[in-house]
Amino acid sequence: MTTFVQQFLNGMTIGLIYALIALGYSMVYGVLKMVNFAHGDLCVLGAMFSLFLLRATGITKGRLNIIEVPLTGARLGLVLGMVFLGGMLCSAITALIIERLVYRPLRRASILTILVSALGVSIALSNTMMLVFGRQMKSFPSLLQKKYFTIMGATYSNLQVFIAMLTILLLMGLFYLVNKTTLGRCIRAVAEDKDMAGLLGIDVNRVIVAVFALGAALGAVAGISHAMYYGQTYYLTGYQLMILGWASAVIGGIGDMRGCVIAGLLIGLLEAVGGGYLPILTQGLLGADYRRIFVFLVLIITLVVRPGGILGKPEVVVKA
Amino acid sequence: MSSHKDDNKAIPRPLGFPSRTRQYWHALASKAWGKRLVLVFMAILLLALPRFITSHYWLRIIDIAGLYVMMALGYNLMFGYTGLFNLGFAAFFAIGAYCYAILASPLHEMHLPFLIILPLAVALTALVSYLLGIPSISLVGDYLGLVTLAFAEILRILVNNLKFTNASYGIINIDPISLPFFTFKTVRDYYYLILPLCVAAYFIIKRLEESRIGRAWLAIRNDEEAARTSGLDTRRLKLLACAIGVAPVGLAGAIFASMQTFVSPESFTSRETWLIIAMAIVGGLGNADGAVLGALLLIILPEPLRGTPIESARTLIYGLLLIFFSLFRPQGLLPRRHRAGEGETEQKA
Repeated sequence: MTTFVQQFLNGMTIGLIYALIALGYSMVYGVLKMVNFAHGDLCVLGAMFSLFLLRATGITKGRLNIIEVPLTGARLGLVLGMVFLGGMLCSAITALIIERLVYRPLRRASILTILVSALGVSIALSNTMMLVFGRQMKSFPSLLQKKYFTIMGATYSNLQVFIAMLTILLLMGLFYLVNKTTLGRCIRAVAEDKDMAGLLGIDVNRVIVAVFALGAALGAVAGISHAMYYGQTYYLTGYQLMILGWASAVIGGIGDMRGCVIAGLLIGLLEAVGGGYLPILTQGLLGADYRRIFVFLVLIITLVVRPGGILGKPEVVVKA
Repeated sequence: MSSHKDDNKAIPRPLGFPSRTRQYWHALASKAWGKRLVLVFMAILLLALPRFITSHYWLRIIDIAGLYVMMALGYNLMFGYTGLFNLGFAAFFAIGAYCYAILASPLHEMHLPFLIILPLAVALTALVSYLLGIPSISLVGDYLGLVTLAFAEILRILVNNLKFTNASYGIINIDPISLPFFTFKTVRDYYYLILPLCVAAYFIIKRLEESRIGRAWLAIRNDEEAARTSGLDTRRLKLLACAIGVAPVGLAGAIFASMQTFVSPESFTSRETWLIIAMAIVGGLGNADGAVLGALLLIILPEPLRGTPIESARTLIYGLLLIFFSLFRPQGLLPRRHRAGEGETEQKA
């Protein structure tokens, strides 16, 4: 029971991060009807840039093994604000540049060309990060002084609480933005029918730009939380985040925000609970390395049984 | 229309010459013979290539380029011709390589002859692709890409962890390829193994693409609904493309394993897939010649850069190439030629 509660809590935390990434995919897909392969790399870019900021300001020292300077009170708040806002800004600006230079000229091109260009952006972005920030895995400071709570025998760290609170807050903010504000109404209108929205006087380009910036900023928060949670960043993490985020978006039903959150949580839980129980159930025959296999099997099964995702509409996905 | 002109030309009979000699001369100078002469010349050049290039280093690179030519041909058939977006091509490369490595290495003390493993590797690769296609083939572009990507990840995790494939240590001391009368040892031997296979793959795929099936594939890529309305069994045709498209990849994998005498999961990362996609795009989609050109360019051109600081930017360059070609030349360097009677309705892809 303790194991279950422990893995459940871990899975929820990581699942919230996946939900945030999935929403980035889903929103861009909603307005442009394309998969932004580079989204995972934008998430990692946020983390990489905030690590750079931490080093540049001398808050963390050392290259491979990070020596943390203890932070308290107002200073901690200031540093956290700098880390997250800096990362968000960097990812959002990069996303805008990509949108302007690559995706906008291709908006009317055939879907295969768009996919290839998006793939190219993802490859170029991750390899630029490798060249700029280095090809080693880097440790990332957790910034918070470790404290642990015990819930039903399971330990829960203050970092996990922080990540969970932050992501839930952002998710609520995003839902409010999309459902209750003018910008949100415009986003929904563009997602429904781009040409019609344009005819009705919505500046489609500005909405698309807003969605790209918003998605990338949320992705940067997810990337930084991911880096803090695992204590490291790596330029190839973007590839993993891309698969998991995209898978969550598809399982949830792409374009459906509630579905994305549910699917993100589901994937986080599958990973954590599967990874926790697999070695116990098979007596060590199958290690925790196999946990991702479940995620991908669930993805393939979902696409076969309910191609539109658990909450989505099937007709967008299947031709037959 | 054009055939009329030729008829008119053929009508006036030459005076003073025996008509038959004239006919032969005509035949020799005609387009078909010119094509044949070029082919013969190219065949001689390719066969004699190891005479000119004596360095083992360069021969090895040409061998590798030959393997990539096969893979790019397969990718071109799947993506360029049928429009199936496969993001897990490296997985099929790995299947071919591991098939050979497991059946011909000291790991399981199995040393089957090459002539048995080769068809086995090709058949297994094609079968896996076919089976993966059964549930996922009706998904549209990017979703099919996601399924193949997930499949490649599953395979990578399995190969990285199973005892059967010796986990992340890889398999060493893989047997060289041996036919009943000959054993392939040097890179030059491998050149004479890879060259005919490449040529065979090229002509088979080219013939296929020009056949009824090829035209059906093209119709599916251009407009699947219209193709189905015209009575094509699109599902079966797409599954066929899945199976045939990865067959040369399995073949290349098997030869790669024996040439390297070592395989490990490191050799089959997503980077390989990106490279193959870049080859197909740069060369030109929907054109076997383009795939050959793309593979040769992307393997041979970066070689002089080895050892320079630019080398670490190789993958970055592949990414930039993809962006550049999507933006400015989506049809690639050698675009597919329209055939007579083919409308201009085709999408640029």
